[in-house]
Amino acid sequence: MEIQTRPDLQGDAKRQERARLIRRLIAANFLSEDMARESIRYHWDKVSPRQRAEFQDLFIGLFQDSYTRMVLNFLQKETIEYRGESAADKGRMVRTVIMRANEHIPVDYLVDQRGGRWLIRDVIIDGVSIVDNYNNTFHRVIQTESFDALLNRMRVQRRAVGDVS
Amino acid sequence: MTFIAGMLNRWMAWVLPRPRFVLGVAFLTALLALYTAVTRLEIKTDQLELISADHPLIELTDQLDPFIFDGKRTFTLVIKAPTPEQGISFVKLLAPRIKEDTAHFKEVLYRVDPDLVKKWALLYLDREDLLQVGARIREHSTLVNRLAEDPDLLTFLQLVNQEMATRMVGELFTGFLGSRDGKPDSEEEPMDLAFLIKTLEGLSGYLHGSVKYESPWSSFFKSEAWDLEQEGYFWEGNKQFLIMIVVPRKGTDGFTATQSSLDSLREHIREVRALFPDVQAGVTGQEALNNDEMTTVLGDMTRATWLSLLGVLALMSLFWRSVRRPLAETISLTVGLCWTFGCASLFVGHLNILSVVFAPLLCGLGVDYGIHWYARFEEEEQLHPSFDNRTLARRVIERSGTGIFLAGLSAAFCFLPFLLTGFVGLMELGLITGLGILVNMVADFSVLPCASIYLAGRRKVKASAGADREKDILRLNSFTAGGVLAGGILLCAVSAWGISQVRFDLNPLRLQAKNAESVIWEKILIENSEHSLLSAASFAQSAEEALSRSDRLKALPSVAEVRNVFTLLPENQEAKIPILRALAPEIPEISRAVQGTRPSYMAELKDVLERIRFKMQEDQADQWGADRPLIEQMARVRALAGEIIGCLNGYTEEPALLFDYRERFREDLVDTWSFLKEGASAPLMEIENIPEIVRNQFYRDGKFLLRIFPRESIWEAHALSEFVRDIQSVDPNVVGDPVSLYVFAEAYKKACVNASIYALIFIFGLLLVTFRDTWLAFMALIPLGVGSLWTVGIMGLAGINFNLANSIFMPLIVSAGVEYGIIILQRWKDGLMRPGHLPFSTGKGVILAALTTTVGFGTLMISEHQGIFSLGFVAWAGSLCVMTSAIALLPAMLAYMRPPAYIPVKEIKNESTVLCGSVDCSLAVDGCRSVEGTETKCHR
Repeated sequence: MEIQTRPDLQGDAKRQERARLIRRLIAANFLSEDMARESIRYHWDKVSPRQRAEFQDLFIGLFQDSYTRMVLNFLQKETIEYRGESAADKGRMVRTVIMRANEHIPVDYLVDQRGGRWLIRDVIIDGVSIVDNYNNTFHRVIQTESFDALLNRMRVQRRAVGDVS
Repeated sequence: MTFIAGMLNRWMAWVLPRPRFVLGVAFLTALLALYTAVTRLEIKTDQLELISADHPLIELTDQLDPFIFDGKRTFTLVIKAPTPEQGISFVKLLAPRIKEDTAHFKEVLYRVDPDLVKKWALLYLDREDLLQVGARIREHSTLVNRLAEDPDLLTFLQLVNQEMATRMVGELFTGFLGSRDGKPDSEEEPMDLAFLIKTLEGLSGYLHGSVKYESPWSSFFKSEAWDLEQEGYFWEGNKQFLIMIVVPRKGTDGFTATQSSLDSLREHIREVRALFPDVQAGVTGQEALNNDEMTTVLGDMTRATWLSLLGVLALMSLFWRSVRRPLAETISLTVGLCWTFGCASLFVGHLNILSVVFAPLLCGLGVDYGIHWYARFEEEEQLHPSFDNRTLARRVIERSGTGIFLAGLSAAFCFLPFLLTGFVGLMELGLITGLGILVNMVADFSVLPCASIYLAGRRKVKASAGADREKDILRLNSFTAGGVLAGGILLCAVSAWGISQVRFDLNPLRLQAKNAESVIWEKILIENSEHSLLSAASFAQSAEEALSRSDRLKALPSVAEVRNVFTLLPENQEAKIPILRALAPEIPEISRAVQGTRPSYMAELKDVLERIRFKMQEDQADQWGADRPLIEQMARVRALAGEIIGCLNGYTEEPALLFDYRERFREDLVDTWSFLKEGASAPLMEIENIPEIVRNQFYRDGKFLLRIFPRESIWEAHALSEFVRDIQSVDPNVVGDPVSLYVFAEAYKKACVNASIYALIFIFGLLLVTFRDTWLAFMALIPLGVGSLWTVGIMGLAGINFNLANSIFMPLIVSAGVEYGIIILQRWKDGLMRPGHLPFSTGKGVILAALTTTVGFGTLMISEHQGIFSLGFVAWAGSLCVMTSAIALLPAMLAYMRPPAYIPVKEIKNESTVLCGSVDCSLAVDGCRSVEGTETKCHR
């Protein structure tokens, strides 16, 4: 939010700069490798180490890109209310609400402590888990096509967002 | 002739001594006749009965009655609203008013209860729509199943929000992998928010005080047919027009039995329209068209009759330079008209759309004999200044009575041959007008002489009465006569071109008043209907016969569509049943338990609306390149959610309206689920399952009715004849409006031609007897022939076609037209005209008689009824053309002929030889004449 509202980073000309800073923040605060593994939890053990490594690499790039775009597009000058935290299956659940006049959206963070830092392993937007979304979609593609097909489509998308950025 | 003269003299010997008594009896009988007409004379509008009351088509057409609201007379009420919903709201308000008005209406039909066919409603969907229903249920299976468990507004909004969130997250993070169906992203169907919008609109409306509930499920299933609230109404023109059928209660007053019902219906419409200013509505249908037509025609004819009387009076006042004498003539004419009305009541009993024009016609035609009468009166007055009016009247009858009587008789017999046509409409016109001329003559031999005793006054006798008697109104030498003939031929050539432009227009709507409400709405319906409003009908005795004949009829090139009872059933039922059966397991059982209200309900509702609103960032969607309709939908959802949240924020307690809407939503949901469940297991629909009111229009008492719709407009004569001949080749007993129109038009055209021929034959016979010279008899017909040619030419130039009203002009002008030729040629024959000259008295008589006839015909042009206007125009132009050709062409032709030899004096009674100044000398004088130099003399 601080990056989005910093006066020296306003305007379309600074969008790339804001994106770079947000992306750096995501990389530092998300357990991206864990999220990658969780997103193909039913298939992780069935694929080769080489495929896993490539998948993780592609996943992290695509996730960071998507999340960056979400922040850039949706978050402006909203108030974020902290609504408490509670124990969760793998760590703790931190509940927040992004507030605007006459509208809001709950965003919950599943965090896990690693090396003394709380890192994010999933974000639940209005009840929909990002990791579960990945898991459901990837599972469907692997079931209907194959893991290689999934990798291939992720490669294509990676190139596409790389070209854009 | 001696017999006629003797009879007339004896009659006058009885009449003239007792003028007060005669006038008293005449006025009394006139009043009695008028009373009889008002109380007994009806107006008949049935088209086929104009041909013949016994026409076989009438009996065949009567078989249609059971299929058309039991043969009841009906009004068609047409409603045009900006939206179908507004139209339905209008109907819902109007229908109860009509039902309550039992004094004027028996029944109102505006909707077939959709519940009667609800079970089979899904079978009426196209196969694609049916598959779409299944697809929508599968696509929204979570929403559908959860709603079935808890059919509540809040649950619905929460499920929609959840689906939105899932879509949003999916779009953001895995959108590149395509939809859940595995389709590429570009092919994924965007989220349709119409269902949500409809729900929010309903809720917002309720919270703002409008308790109008509209089911949102048609939006969910993307089919308007889904909304049962809007089903079952009678639509036309792609749902632009809503139709109501109103059965009037037949009244007993007035010429049109249902007129008061029509007036009342229009009043109801006006009242309801005041509440719906955007909605237009009007009444049409055959009954309303008939009523409006008759109302217009009767009003027009009343005005035309008065105008004609005044016109003739003014014309005579101008020519006679007197008011008293034309007044006496007008009294005589009025009495004659009243007697004619009485005769029409006694001998016919009704008027039809053709015979209703007789009164103004009689004003023009019937006054001619009074003109001849007064012309002679004036002449006698000049000759015998000392005679009193009674003596002068007796002398008029003695001298001119026979001529006037024969002239009237010949005019009457121009109309009476209409009885030979066999076409009832013309027969009645011929009988009424023929009788009318005869009774007008009776008036001229009784009322006119008696009225003259009191009203004729005395005119100052000119000192040199014969000073202008040698004047000619036209003098042609061989050169100028050639010019006149060349001009006539040129006009004939121009007319020939004009004639090529004249068509026969069958459209009865174009005969009606343009601004009549029923006509305006009928035209709108015709222009906007998907198919012709008129259809032919064929009866079949079995299902097999109905189906095979339908196939044969459909194969005809002139047939667009054939409807029968089987076309009312859903198409391809056998193919749709498996789709329905596959749908059944997808539809969960719905919970029918009514949920209580938890205290946090309103807070939860606001919460979910705020969450929905957060996602409706249309500016963001625009940046991503979302489609314009989706962006507009997002903006609408955002606005509605904001409205509702604002409204809810204003309540301290939970509003009752919210829970009213919630309850209606739940009921609607339960109904829709039941509808789906029932529909998915529906059996094949059979004829017996069709609602009676609809089925009865195609199948009744074991008899099948096929409705046959033409491909082309049957208002075009060639299209109509092709259509009727085609369908008659399959079933010779076809009936219906196109068949009636075709049969009527053919019979009418034939009758008009026959009437003209019969009138011409009679007149030609009369001319042969009168002239005893075939060549002169032919020449007497020239003004009529040439005048008719010019008239049709003028019609072409004026853009007026022949139609079912004006085709009768020819027999109408025969009587008038031939008279002018007779007058001129009689004068010629008697040796009273020099070649190329038209004497002033003869010309004046022809012109005055023609002008009064023209006034009679011309007043028909004030009619708003376009058919009568066109008849008036054509007959008016015709009488002028015939007059012009008579006074110009006949003298021009006679300029090249040798005058007849001197006619010796047969009898010289008298006392005096006088110069003939009478306009009707040729007809009215039965003495003998001679030409001495330039002086015309009559010997008595």
